[in-house]
Amino acid sequence: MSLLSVKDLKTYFHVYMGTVKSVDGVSFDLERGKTLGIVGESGSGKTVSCLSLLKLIPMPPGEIVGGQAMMDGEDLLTLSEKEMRKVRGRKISMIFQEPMTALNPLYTVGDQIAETIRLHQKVNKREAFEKAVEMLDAVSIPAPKARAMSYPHQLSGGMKQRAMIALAMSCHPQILIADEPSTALDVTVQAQILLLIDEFKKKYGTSVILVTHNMGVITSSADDVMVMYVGKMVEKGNVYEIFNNPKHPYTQGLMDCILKSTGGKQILKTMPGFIPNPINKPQGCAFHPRCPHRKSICMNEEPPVVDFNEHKTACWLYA
Amino acid sequence: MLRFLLRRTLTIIPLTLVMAVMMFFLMRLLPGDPALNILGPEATPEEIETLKIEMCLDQPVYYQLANWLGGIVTGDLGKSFYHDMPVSKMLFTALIPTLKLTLLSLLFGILIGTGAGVISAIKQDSLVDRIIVVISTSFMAVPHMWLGLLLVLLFGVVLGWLPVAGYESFKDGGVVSLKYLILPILAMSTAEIGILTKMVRARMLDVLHQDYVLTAKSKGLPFWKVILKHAFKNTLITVVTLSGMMLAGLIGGAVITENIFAIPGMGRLIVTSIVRRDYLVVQSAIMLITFLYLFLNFLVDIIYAFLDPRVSYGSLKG
Repeated sequence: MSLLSVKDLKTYFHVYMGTVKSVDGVSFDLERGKTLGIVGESGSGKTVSCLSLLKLIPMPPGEIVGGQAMMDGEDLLTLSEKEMRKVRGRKISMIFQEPMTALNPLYTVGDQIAETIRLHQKVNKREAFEKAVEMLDAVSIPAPKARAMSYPHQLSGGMKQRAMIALAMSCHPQILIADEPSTALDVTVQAQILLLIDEFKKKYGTSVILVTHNMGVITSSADDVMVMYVGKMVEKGNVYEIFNNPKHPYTQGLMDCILKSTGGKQILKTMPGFIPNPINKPQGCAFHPRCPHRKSICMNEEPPVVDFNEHKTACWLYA
Repeated sequence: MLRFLLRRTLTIIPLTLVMAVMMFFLMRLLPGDPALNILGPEATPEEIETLKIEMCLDQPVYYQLANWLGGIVTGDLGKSFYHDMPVSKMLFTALIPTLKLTLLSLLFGILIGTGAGVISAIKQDSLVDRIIVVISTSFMAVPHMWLGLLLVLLFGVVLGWLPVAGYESFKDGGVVSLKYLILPILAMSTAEIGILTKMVRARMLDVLHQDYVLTAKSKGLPFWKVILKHAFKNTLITVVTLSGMMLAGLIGGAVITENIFAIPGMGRLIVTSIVRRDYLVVQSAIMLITFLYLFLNFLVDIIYAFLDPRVSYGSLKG
């Protein structure tokens, strides 16, 4: 049985100009000790899906309209704010894209980690701080004791992201949501951060939801992949399946955008068109204006989800 | 930090000196003769001359200046021309009501202003928020002397709850003596409340959208702790900056407010002394206010360093 099972999640934002269906009926399962990669362009609803699981959507204007997210026999979406607080940081924790701004500039790194520990474990102030230092050591920060007493502005970007991982992992959560954890970092540091997340996954059996728009990151870290396009799942499956045998034209397009080194000169491919306005989505399949295999039915009716042995895609090509 | 403190203390000296010289010459530029003022229009030229000698006004101007500056250093500010009383004693008695008035107004303004600003930001776009925005805007627009008079009319004359004017020292009246200060404080702090509410609201809204607030929520912290510990502390810098700036306005405003409410403070002392051409009193009073202002701004700079670890004066060159 999977650790987290999300069914038909719908998160809408009611704004002045209309309703933005940021996440519109997304379902996925997260297995114990595995990494689920969620891929898609900006605005495809990756981040909103994750924030919905922790009920951290600003309400209003946001609203979780429907669906369920089962974990340990309870539906996260129906929990009260008080019950939700016991999930956040303890069962599910999250790290963000911008390590520069994710830590509060006015408190030391150690204090911020110790705050989480004290919130979920019965320890006193000194013990919590010692545990925070241990966590900083575990994420390979040199001189952890001195760094624990440093303020965020005294740390580099990579160090801050390590500290964020230490903070997120400090209560050994079952799920770590990593929202573009390496995007804002130097290329050399990116790999280190991803490796560090992998290390924790193996050591504690943590499940990871890895949100990214970088296909390269997915190949190196994910076990399963879900591709999203304007709030909907377009393809989902094992990482090898998705890479070797992409079914959906959008996934195929994303694959074509990866620069492959085959020797000789390479031309960087791009996908034609832009992601549509979320208030005014195209009828039928949202991808049809950009799709090279467009049929007339694509413009009028939403595609059904077709299942090829645990490899799912929502496309009229296979229906 | 120690170097910074020393440097800041040293910059106060030239600033004070420039102010002292300016004040001295501004007073001499005013038309009118203090001796004539004291003795009245019927005085004979001989009487006026004797009084002038007595007040050292027959000496050359640079001598008078040097004399006065020397007095500031030694603490002997001379005697008032009008009252047979040392200037330092007059200043001290007038300073207490003014300090009470301005500091209490500042404190009251900070409490109400930041409170309203934070509530308004948390409840953004709600009815409460809209009401607070409208009230704070009108507070900023109302001139405090006019509001002071209206308050006197309502609470002093029509309802009769509070005294119309006057002052009582804490030593004489105890807590009840504060009733004289309620209306002046209300009148003086309105503009301040308006500005603070708006600025704190804007800053708070900015902070609430920062990633570290999301981090704090994702830890599982309760809402009020996210607001007070993580968000509010980041808006405190704004409050401190504004308070330092507003203090200047409050001290200036005290001159008018004290006259409306007949409070025997610095404002009243300065106005009456200017009319009497009591040079030494005016000069010294303004010097004291200048010094107070510089000192409080100095204090604000130190508070910065305590509030925000990124502000480190030790590393600043200059």
